[in-house]
Amino acid sequence: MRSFKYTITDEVGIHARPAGLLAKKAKEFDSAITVEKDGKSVNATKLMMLMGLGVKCGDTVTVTAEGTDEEAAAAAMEQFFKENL
Amino acid sequence: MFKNFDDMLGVRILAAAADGRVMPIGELGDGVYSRRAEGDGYAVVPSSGIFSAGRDIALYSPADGVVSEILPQGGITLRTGDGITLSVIYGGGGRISAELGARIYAGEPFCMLPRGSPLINGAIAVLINETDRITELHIRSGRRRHGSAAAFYRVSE
Repeated sequence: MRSFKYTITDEVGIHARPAGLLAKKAKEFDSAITVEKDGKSVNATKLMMLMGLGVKCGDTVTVTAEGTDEEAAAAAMEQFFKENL
Repeated sequence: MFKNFDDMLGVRILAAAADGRVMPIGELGDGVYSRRAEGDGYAVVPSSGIFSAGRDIALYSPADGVVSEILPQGGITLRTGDGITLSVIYGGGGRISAELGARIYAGEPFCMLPRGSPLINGAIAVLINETDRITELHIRSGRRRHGSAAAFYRVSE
């Protein structure tokens, strides 16, 4: 299992467009990828659940990847967050 | 679409969620929602012009239903009487006045987007989540007033 923490810098947080791109990116990997905020964890491939987390600017989330390609998945997800959120 | 009255039986209507130009969601061109992975339906580009340019955008419910989910960063989901879940998704930053569990009606305002709010490729998406139940979907593309019919659909029981 691989995980990292990230503090959101996008002023609107995880809103519709990055949530959609995030879900799309997460689907590229076989590993189960989750995003957790304040004890609530959701499947990163589920766009509505991501938006339901209510992640705002300044919030810190924990992203976890678990599976056969977890190293690549975690690295790619961290890169995605840095570029988009 | 309707040749006679019998054709209209079982047809459900989605109202336009905002004043603007309606198009099938597949034409949105954002690469995410337009792929219909989150549902099928329509997008509406809020109208602009000398009367609305630079103003806040009001969003209206596309159907009668119960607010089943409020997505703090950009939308709500509604549960209709026939068990269909509708999602109204915009970019983010809106002021949602609807309450979780409340019943709202087609054409009823539920959200105000401040000017400059991010949208999805300039549009708001209205999606039917249960795509496997949709047996027919017709989008009334073009300029529509909020509350007027934007789409007709049938679902399997």
